[in-house]
Amino acid sequence: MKRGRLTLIAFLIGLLGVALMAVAGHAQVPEPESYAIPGIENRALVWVAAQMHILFAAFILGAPIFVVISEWIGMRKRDPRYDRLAKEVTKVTTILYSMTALTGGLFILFLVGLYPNLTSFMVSHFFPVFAVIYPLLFIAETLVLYLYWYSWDSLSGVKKGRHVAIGVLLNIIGLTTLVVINAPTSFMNTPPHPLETATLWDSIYNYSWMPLNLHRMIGNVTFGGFITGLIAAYMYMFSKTPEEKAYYDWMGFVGNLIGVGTLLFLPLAGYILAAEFFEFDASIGPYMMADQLSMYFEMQGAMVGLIFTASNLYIWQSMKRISGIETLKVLGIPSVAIVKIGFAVILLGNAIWMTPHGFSATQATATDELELPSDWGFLALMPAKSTAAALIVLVTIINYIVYNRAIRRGTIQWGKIDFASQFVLIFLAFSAIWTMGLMGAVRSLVRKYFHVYILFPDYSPESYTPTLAHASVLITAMTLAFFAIVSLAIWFSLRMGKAKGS
Amino acid sequence: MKGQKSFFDIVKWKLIVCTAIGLALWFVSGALTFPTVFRIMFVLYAVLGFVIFLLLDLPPMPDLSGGKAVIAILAFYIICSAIYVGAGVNLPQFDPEWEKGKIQKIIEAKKRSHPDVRPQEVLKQTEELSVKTNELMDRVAKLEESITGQSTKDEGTAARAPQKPTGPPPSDPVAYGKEVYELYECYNCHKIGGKGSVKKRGPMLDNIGNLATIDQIKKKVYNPKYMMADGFDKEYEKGLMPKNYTELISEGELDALATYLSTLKNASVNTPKPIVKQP
Repeated sequence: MKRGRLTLIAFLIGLLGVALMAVAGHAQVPEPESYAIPGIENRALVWVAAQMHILFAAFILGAPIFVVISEWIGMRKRDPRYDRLAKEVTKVTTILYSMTALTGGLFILFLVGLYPNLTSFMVSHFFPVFAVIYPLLFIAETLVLYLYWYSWDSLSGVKKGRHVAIGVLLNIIGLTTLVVINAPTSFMNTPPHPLETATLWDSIYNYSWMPLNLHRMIGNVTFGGFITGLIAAYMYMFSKTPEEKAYYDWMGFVGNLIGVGTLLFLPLAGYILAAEFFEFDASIGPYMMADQLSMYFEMQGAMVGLIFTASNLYIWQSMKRISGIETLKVLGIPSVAIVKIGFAVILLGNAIWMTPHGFSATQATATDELELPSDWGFLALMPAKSTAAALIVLVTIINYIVYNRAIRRGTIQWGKIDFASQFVLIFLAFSAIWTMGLMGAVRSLVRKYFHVYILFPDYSPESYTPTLAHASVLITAMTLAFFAIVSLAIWFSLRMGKAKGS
Repeated sequence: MKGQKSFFDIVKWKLIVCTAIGLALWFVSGALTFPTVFRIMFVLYAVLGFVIFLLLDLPPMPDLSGGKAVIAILAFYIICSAIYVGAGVNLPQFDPEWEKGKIQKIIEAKKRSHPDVRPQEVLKQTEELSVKTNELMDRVAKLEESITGQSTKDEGTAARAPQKPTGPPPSDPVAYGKEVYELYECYNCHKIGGKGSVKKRGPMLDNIGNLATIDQIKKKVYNPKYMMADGFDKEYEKGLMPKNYTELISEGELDALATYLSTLKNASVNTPKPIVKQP
């Protein structure tokens, strides 16, 4: 009997072994080996493709939001400038739409070829999203975008309302697309736990989904606003007539207004997203703010400070082209003095915002020589940072109030703005894109050495946190590539189109 | 031009004021015991202030067109790129080699137990197979008992006791525990020997060996609600200590970590007393 029992145990162990091999085989055999391109890291390839795709996608999803508002204002106010702005931005959008699709395709190809196991896991987990919902939305977005663009002239006059309605539909589809694709993106950061019992909805409605939706929605409009400023700056610089200069001066002002107006909400949206990460796993907080990514945030602090400073500098330059600004007083104080005091406050706010708790890229090497003195540690804490951000936002609002007072008293001399202001607009677009790249990297890197946080480890050789130097070079290269493409798109669609028309 | 200030006039007072502010910041921050790196940063703020106030008062730039405008735009992009890359390169850098080695150690440990790249799935299916095997073993035991009349219950139970994943026994558990402490970045919230988080996230651990047993430390790591450091009520209520160490840290690693921490008995450091909250 003992012999029979041993045989049975051996059989069961064998069965278990075969079953384990089958499980392992199931996981390994049907999934192809990942490829590697010599000389280029797999991660860098996917990083570039994803970032370029996101930059184009952010513009084509963000721009239509204010485009349709601009068209509507133009219709209500009977001011053709608003309609022209909307039309020109849409013209650039249609060109960049194809770039979005192209970079999206590249991104998927790289993912399938370089990270087949992850791609297979994500696709199977979000099958209805990737196979049905997203493609349908993408097709709908394409159809409605081109319908919106090609019906611009035919649906004018009394039919303008219908055209605005198509624009609204375009935005509904665009925002739905954004929200849908944010689900797998946020899932990779904050997946539901345990995954085995989670439904598809649990995976979609994960911890960071809504904060990411909010952050990206606001960020896209900010980005679209600053790109509008960029378009205006280019066109202003190459305008031949005073009328053209006046129009593109106005367009630049509106672009900056949209960018800054929405930028005011971004620090809060960013804070909510970071807080959700922290709530999901408290170790992410120190990883971002005190450890490997701390210097990324130092860089972000500098970038946000510079963007706000440049935006206010542009408001100042805009004020200088209003007649009578020199004599204007607000509450008995000369407006020029108010603006200059405001800049001193912005500097102070930036200084607090940028002061880190320490100059070490990891707490493992943190020493007292690199840290704030303990009595001044509060400068690096959230209350100090929030106060600094609130100060900067408040000064920006006050500057717009002063600007508003000034245009009630004097006349705006459109087209007479300091030529240097066009470089400020270019700087704003460049810095906004750079910051997007930086923070996009941060959002991905908080997953540490996981593709899907805690659930799916990254076994590739590049699962470490890249240095800020490496990231800065890559982000700058991507920003320049994006600018080159956008500059060409603006040139082909607006400058060459104009030359043809004239 | 009549009525327009010269460049020197525009710069003069700004330079004087910003230099004075920069010097004041340098000496005052020195007196307040700010480290040199922060003092340099404060002076740079003064320089930034000078640049901004200079930009505010500069006379309008002459219009550029055609090739000159294109060259100016390209030069501007090069300057912006150089500034951003320069800043990114010159800020303190995290050494990837250090992290590469660390990740390699963590991943190798996981790969040894689950060679497949989808450890969750393999683990789940292994557990299912183990349950089925156990059922079959029960049947075998019952069948044998009915034939021989002898109970094999104890033997069977021992045979199918869950095998805890254990790696090769470390030659020096204290050194291994210290490595585990570094690997899982406990220093982000705790301080040992003056090194680690400056923020009050978690208590200093220099004297934890005198205040908690190995078993208590192990329980605390796997269940952060088990104990609370005295004076850390807010952090405890917020749940600052991560809950996922059961998934990340193996039992072997936990043993080593607790052994290492139990050797920390520096009574001169004020490590807060642990209070058991969930017996």
